[in-house]
Amino acid sequence: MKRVQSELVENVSKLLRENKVGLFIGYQDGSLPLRTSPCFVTKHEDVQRLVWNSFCANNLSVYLKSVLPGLPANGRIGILCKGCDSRSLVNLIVEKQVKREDVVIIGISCPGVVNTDRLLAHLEGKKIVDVEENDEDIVVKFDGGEERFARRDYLYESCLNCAYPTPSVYDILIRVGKHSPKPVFPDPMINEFNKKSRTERWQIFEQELSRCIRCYACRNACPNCYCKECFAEQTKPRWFGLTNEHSDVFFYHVVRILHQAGRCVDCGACVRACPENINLRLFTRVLVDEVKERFGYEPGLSLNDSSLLATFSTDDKQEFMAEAD
Amino acid sequence: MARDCVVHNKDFDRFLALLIEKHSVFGPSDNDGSNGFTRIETPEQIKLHRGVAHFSFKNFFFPQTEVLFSFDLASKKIDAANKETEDGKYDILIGLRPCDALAVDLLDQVFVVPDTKDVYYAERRSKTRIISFACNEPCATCFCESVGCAPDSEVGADVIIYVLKDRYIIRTVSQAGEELINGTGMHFDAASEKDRAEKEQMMTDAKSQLTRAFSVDELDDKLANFDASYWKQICQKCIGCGICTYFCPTCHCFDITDDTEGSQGRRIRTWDSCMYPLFTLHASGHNPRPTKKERMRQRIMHKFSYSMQQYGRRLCVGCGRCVVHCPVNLDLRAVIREITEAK
Amino acid sequence: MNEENRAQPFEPKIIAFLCNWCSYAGADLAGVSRFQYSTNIRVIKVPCSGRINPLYIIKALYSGVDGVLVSGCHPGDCHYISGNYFARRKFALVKRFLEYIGIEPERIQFSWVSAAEGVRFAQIIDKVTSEIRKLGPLTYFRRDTGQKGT
Repeated sequence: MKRVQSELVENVSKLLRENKVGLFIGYQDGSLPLRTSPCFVTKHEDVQRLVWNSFCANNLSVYLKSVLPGLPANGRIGILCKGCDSRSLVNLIVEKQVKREDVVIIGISCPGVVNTDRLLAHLEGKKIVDVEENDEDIVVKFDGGEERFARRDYLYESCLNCAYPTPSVYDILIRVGKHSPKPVFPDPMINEFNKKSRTERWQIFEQELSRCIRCYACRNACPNCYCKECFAEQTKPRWFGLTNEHSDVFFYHVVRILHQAGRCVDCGACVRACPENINLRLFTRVLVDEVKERFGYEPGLSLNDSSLLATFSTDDKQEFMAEAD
Repeated sequence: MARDCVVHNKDFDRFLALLIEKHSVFGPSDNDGSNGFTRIETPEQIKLHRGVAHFSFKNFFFPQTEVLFSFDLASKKIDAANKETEDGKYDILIGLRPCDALAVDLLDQVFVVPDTKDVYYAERRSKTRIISFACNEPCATCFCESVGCAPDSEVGADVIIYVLKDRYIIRTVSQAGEELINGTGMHFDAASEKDRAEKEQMMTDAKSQLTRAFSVDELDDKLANFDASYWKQICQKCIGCGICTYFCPTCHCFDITDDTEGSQGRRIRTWDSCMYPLFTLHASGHNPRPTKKERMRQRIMHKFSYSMQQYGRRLCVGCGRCVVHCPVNLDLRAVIREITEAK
Repeated sequence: MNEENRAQPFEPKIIAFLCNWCSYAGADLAGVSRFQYSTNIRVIKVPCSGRINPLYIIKALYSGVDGVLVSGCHPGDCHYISGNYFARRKFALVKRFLEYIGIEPERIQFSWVSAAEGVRFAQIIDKVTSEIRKLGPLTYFRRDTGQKGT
């Protein structure tokens, strides 16, 4: 990890010195234990703030979906992308929100991001003093001792089934050790859910989402949600109420997920942002799998992609129609 | 007027049971859903978490969704939401930490002002009594002392309870609190010097765990500079999600919409957030707060500067929820520190 | 809402989004030819089935209907050449998702009806209506009048 971090700092330093970018977006140490926080570096002296570790969770592409305040005159932005982040960025480029030539991508082949909440829960409130990492383990040092964890045991769900840990598009690639993912398709979680009865599935949907407080963190953390006027905040017309009643909450989530169809890369940013720990992925992932199975498409893999719903084939299956043609 | 009583652990549930019997008690429990509190039927239901509860208790007086009234044009009827009060029976909100109790007091400034009293809030507030618990173990994210609160602050509470090793000290803070305690009919021993000394030691220990997050000494001067350059950098991490405003116990902005169907409808008040673009969107399409820079600035100014000018108090109680839940770890403590240290 | 109609048997309300050039004309033909079909649909005319944002389907359910039908031109015959091809992709995903979260699949249906298919339009309406009638009213997506999150 230290090797990766110094390689990163070196590369960013060079980019800034050579004026290839005016701003670099990466991660710095967070103010809470086992957290990092997005970091915006414009000055060469600040590059030492950049870190790389198993807690670099945020999808930084989210900052490219609108104009950044404080953007320097040299408008090119450098950005650190894990596999999923790069797919989000590619999607933004394909959907013409970002120009490829405006970004310089430092890619990292990601071994997975650790679920901080789960790790902290396991540590039961011990005061953390330091964290060390190697290829397999994380060693957390606290007041009165230390404990070793296998990284693989504490990854986020979206990381466990990651099919593309190495960025799809990059200008510079930093490799993080050996990494051989074994993604399962379709996602086992979806398979399990499919097996349940219709009423059970609705009950679970209702139960999970009834915790929602309409904070919109899921939407704002998602790089794909860049509409200047979101349907949820449209007043002409007003589609649904502003309340946290079930009907309004369901409306918001169902439509947002449907608007992600063919675009969601399963980065997990929405799940991580949710303050109520709603298992959003249980409902977002189904369309990711359906899109791959039905149309053979996975968003964010190539700059030559066309958006799924902006294309068609005359041979698209239509077995779901009310009547066979 | 304040009285210190002692209740031993074995008698505490009986005390709670008496309150539950005589009044409607609400407090934090295992499964509060998105309210932050549950109607308490048995003493065991109350679950006091270390530090602050997940949700603030503002939902109690200022619900996220409140039907102001419903109407039916066809029958020309308007039904205002109205709750009957039984004499002598109150709603008791138990389990607040001093920061949350202070937050209620701060919200009172906004909603229970003589000339412009919000009847929905005021009605509920007048028949509620607040029992808070002093903090023995502040969280690492707590910074109440930096904003003038404390683990044993009594502001906003009618009764404050100190949790010692094998007993509780119940202190009545207000006349209403005194009446509440007397009303249980239970006999209380007065707290002894030993009890008080142990309580003081616990509070001293608790306060020693708090680190000073920032100093507000020069904050007013610094915030007077509306066009300071640091706002551009401070806001960069923010994704404008609104979690901070929803979890903040003093954030109180709201929206009012009419929800109609045919000739019937209801007028609803819902929470709003200054972090959303719709918040200041004008009918013309112009938005005076077009980017997150203006919105973050607004949030900080409202909490720390405008409120000083309006009420002589800052609208932050140092509960730390915004720090805990921010998806990008935008730490308010660091922001205020940066502002106070800016040239 | 439906409480007053308890005495009468349940008749579903169905919103039918019909594309102007084919399905709406087909419905028109059915009407002009006096073909009888279930009177449960409320028609919303759209220029093309490709115009349908999944948002409208959810809005329909939220507004209190028991089912939605979206109907357009046959693939290859779209007045705007390819609108219905885009629609077909969207429909597949909407159908999959709503079924996944536990809404009966018969409630949201899609069809291709041409301007000449008056009889077929009536048949499809009857079929869809009877399928939805069997399911009963859709209560759990309807706009609330007071139930909050737990």
